[in-house]
Amino acid sequence: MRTYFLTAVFACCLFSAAFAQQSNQNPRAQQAYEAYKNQVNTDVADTDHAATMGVTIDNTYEAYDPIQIKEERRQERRDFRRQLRLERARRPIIANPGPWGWRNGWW
Amino acid sequence: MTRLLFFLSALLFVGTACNRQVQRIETDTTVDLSGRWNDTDARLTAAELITEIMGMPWLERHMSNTGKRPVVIVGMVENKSHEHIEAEVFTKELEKAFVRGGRVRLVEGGQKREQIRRERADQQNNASQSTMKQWGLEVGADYMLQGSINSIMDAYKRKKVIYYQIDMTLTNIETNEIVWIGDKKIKKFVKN
Repeated sequence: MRTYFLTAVFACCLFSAAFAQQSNQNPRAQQAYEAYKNQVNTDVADTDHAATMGVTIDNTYEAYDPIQIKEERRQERRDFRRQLRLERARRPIIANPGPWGWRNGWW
Repeated sequence: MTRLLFFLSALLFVGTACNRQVQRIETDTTVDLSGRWNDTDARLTAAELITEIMGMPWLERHMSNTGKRPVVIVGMVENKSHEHIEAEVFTKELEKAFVRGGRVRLVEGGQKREQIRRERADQQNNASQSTMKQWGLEVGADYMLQGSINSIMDAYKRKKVIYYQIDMTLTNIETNEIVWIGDKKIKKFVKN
């Protein structure tokens, strides 16, 4: 008799604990899930989700660095001079100024 | 005379060819060249984060509440610094600490998980019935590890001060509760 009583008490406790946990859940949980699911395109969302897991997303900014800026300007000048040399080699008449300055051959 | 010239030119060739030197060094050796983020920073970050995450009370609390080991999945780390920093270098160290320590369970995520699912789908057609793996038996994670990397740089003429802050958070997936926050701060003074 005592065993039955203890079992019943234990079952009641278990049921009430489970019920308490269930009752704490928002009653509109399923509705919220459906709304969330419909909000996003499932295929695209799955792909995006997989692509962002365990990876580094680069959202970097450019910091002000005087030395780097100086080096970039230097490189730009080098590139410009190189392009100019190539252009002169390719079109010597047009790109090279004559002894009287730039002329296009019409005068 | 010709032989001598040949010998001298060969010597010159060998001498110029040996300018490059490569040597193996210990992986825990600190070598700072440009002052940018390097392997030493990643190693220091990993060491500190591992110490913090394994020593904090969230682990004991989870064990006492549920009686089970927590299951963690690694999420996204956002790099908002001014340099390219690959976070996988130190998140992998964290994962290793979880698996080797045995107190935290780890589940795969991202593209690797997709690949495993593809293989499982393939098994449904090609594997024998006794060895075929079932769907719907994956372990659901309790927590997600996420992070961000921030940096501040101050430069004047040839001097630079660079500050990095790496923040990692562990969030309960069901309740959104942040159960652990760890960070690593690194400050460098660079003189060119």
